Amino acid sequence: MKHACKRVSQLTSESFDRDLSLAEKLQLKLHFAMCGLCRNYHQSLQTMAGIFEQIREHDLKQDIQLPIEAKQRIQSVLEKEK
Amino acid sequence: MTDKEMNPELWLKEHGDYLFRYALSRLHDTELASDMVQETLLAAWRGHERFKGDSTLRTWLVGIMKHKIIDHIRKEIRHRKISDRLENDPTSAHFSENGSWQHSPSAWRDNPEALCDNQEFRQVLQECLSHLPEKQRHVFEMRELAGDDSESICNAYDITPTHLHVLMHRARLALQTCLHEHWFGGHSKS
Repeated sequence: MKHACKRVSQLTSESFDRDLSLAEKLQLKLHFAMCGLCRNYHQSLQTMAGIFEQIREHDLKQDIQLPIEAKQRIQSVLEKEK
Repeated sequence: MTDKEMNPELWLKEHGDYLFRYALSRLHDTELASDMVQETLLAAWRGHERFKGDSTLRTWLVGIMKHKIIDHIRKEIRHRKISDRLENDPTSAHFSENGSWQHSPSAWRDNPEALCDNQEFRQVLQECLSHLPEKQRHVFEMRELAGDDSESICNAYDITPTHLHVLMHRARLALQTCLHEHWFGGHSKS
């Protein structure tokens, strides 16, 4: 199929952002079965997604706090508003 | 809400840090993120009659903040006219005339958790992200680092889902290539 890998790389990316249709899933599956490079690409995007998931969890656990000056400023703004 | 809970200063004390982290992960600017916390709490206080109590207070506050952030990004885009032309397809460089790969993507089998803890890798990742075109990077980070859903991102950047998918695809392909070159290809791996 012409432009196969180019088109498949776009679909591969989209599979991380939306539910693919049955036809699209089949298209990927068939292509992956015969194309090692696109299989590799898919695998590397899975690892990439895993990395960002880890970073998200990691950052959430980090104890980043609202700077104290900002807290005081907001505090006085809210006091005036009450 | 009980009378005791009806106190914006208490909201600040209990949810301020959380809201700050939420804004910071999407705006990457301490000053701006603090302003968002202030605006959110003010808006929440002015509209506290609208709090129905069918969600937690934190969820309600985050909902308000989400809109504030989207508004901010929309204004920013109008102001700075961040443009991204879709006509030039940067992914073409990765494929030959007939649509097959120009370079050979490798499979990455490294453990994401270990990579996340590896400071050297995190630096390379930052570097690769910084090379993405501005809008692509913003959209990609909002999706992958902040973990926002497609709908909020499309709203904030005033783009269609199709446009979002194109931007995400371009960002992933560019990152995959950059990370391969500077990490997975074996260069700076220790």
